Amino acid sequence: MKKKHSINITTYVPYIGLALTVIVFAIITEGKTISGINLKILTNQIIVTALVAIGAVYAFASGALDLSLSGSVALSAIAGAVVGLRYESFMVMIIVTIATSFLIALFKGVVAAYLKLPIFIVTIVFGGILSAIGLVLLGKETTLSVRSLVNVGNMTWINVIFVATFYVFALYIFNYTKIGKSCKLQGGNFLAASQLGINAKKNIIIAFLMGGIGVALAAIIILLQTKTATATTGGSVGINIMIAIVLGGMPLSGGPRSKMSAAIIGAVTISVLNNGLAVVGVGTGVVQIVRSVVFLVVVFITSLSYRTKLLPR
Amino acid sequence: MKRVLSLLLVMVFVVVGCQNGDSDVEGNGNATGDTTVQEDLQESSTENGTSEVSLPYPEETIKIAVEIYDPTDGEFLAMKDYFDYLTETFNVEFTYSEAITSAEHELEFIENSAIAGADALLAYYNVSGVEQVAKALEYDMYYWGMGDDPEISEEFKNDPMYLGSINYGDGEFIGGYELGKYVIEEGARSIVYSSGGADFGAEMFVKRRNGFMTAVEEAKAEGIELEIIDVSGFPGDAFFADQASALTRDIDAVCASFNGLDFWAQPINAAGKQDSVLLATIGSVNENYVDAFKNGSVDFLAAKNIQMFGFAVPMIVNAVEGNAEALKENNTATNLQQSFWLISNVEDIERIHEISQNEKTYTGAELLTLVKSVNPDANASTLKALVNSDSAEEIIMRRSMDE
Repeated sequence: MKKKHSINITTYVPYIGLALTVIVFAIITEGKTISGINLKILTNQIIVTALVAIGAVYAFASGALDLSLSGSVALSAIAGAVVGLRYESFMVMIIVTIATSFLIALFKGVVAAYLKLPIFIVTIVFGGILSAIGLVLLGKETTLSVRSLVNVGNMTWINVIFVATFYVFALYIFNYTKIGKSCKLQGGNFLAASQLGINAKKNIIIAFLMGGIGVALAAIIILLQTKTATATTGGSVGINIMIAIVLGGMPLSGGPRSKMSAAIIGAVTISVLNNGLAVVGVGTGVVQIVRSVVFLVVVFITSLSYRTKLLPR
Repeated sequence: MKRVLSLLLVMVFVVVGCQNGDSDVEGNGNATGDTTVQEDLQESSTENGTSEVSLPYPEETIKIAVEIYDPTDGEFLAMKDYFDYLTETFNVEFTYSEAITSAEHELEFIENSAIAGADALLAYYNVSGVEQVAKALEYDMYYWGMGDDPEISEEFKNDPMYLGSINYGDGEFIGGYELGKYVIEEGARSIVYSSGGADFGAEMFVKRRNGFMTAVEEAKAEGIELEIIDVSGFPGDAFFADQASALTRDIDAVCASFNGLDFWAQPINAAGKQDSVLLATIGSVNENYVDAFKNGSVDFLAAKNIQMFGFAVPMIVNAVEGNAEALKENNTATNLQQSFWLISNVEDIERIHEISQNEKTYTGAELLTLVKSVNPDANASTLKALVNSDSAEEIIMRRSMDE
C-alpha cells in the first residue's frame, strides 16, 4: 500500500507543480499573472511548444529522441513563406508549410526506421541541415515578412482551436488505437515489441509523421503570429519541448510511462514559469537559474518512482 | 534642491561656454536649424525659467523594457552602464530581455513586459520588423527603437505611441567613407578593404562598403590611382587565407569594416608591416583601442556612440507625461541619425574614452533639458542640436568648457 501511495504522488507531481507555479506567481504579482489579458497572452506563449510537444510524444514514446524539431519548424515556415510570397497566396503558404513538414517527418522516419544509427545523433545532424537549407532559401534576406498574406488579428481562438483539436486527435490515437500502444511498447522494450509482431519500421515512421503534424501546425501558428519567417524561427522549440515533456512527467526515454498529458502540462508549466518570472521582473541571469532549479527539482521528484527499478521504463 | 541648482548652474555654464566656442562639428550632419541646445538652454533658463524638479525625475517610476540580442555584448554592456548612470537623473527602471533568439521570442518578451507594467519598449534589437512595433503599440507601450526600416517608419511615423528611432542609414555609409578618405589622404594607394558581411547582403556592411567605395571613386576622379584588395567575410578559414594573401602584397593601408584591432592589428604586426601599413577601422571606444592608438597599431577609428540611446529616456518621459509630441516635428516621429566618432590621435581617444566612462557624452542634466515639463522650450530643434553635438571635437570642446 505504501508503495502504491508513493507512485500516486509522483504521478500528480506535474499537476501539483503547475498549480503551485500558478498560485505562487499570482500571489507575488498580485494577480497580474491570472488576469484576463495575461491568460490571453499565455495562449500565445503556450501554443507553439504545446503543438510540437503533442506531436513529439509519439516519437519520444517510441524511444526516438528527435533533436531536429527547431530546424523542422524553421524550414517548414521558411518554405511556406518563400513559396507563399512567390505566388502571393495565403493558401499556397499554408499548403507548402504542411507539405514541407510532412516531407521532413517522412524523411526522418525513414532514416530512423531503416538506418541502424542512434536516432538522436541523426536528428542532431539533421537539425543542422534543415537550418542550413532554410538559410539557403532565405538567400540574402534576413527576414521574410508575410504581412501581405496574413490578415489575422486576435490569435486567441485560433490558438485554442488548434491545440484542443490536435490534442483530442493525438490523445485518442495514442491511448485508444494500436498505433499509440505500439509506440509505447516499442519504446519500453524493443525486443518484446518485435516478438509481439509490432512492425517497428512502420511504427517509427508513423510516430515521426504524427510529429510532423505538430510541426506543421506550429509553423503555421508562428507565421500567423509573427507574420515573419527567419533563420531563427522556432529556435527555442527544441529545448522547450524536452523541458516541457520532462516537466509534464514523461521520461525522455519513452515507453509505457509516456503520456499525452505531459505535452500540455509541461508546455503550460514552462510558459507560466517564463511568463511569471518576466512579470515579476527577475533579472536575466536569475531567470535562467530559477528555471534550471525548478526543472531539476521536478525531474528529481518525478523520477523517484522509477529510478530505483531495474527497468526504469 | 542643491542638486537641482547645481545642475542648472552646470547647464548655464555649458551654454555660455559653448556659445563662445568655435566648434568644427563633424558627425551625422543632420542638423536642421541654427538653434543649438546651448541656446535653447539659455533661453529656457533666462526667459521661461527651467522648472524646478527634484531628482530623480519624475516622481513616479517609469518602466522601460529593453530588448537586446546578447546580454554579454560589449556595446550592450556599455549602454547598460550608461542607463544605470541616467537613473541618477531620471526615475526610470530598465528591464532587459534575455538574448532574443527568434521573432516569437521577441513578441513574447513584449507581451510579458506589458503585463509587468512597462510603459515603453526600447528596441535595441528587432527580429520581426513591423510586428515588433505593432505588438508594443497593441499593449499601449510607447516604442523607441533602432534601425532604419522604411516600412516601420512609413506605417507608424504619425502614431503618437511611436516615438522614433536611431537611424543608422547614413551613419554606416559615412563610417565606411571616412575610413577610405582618411587612408587616401594619408597617402595610401594600395588598400585592403575588409568588408565583413557585405557580400552576403548584411545591410550595415553593404552601406559601409558603399561609403568606402565612394571615397575611392572620389579620389580616382581627382586622378589618384588606387588599388583595392577586398577581403570579405568574417574570421574563419577563408577569411584568414585571404588575409594572409593580402598581407604578402605591397600594401599601404587596411580599412576594416569591423573590429580591426582584434582581427588585423596582430597579423599586420606579424607580417612586419606595422610601421608601413595604416590601419583604419570601425570599432568601439574602449581601453584596448586607447592602448592600440598609443602603440601605433591603429591609426584611425570610427566608433559608434552608444550613449545616443540615452535620448530614448527623455522622449519616453515626455510621452508618459502626455507630451509625446514635444520632440517631434509636425507630429512625426523623430528618427535620429547615428553618427560615428572619428578619431585619429591618442589625445582624442583618451579624452573620449574618459568622457564615455566618466563624464558621459550626454549628461543626465543635458538630457533632462529635453523633458517638456522641466524645460517648456524643449522641442525638435533642441533635440537635434544636442544630438548633433556628439562629434569628437564637439564633445571635447563641450567638456573642456566644464573644466
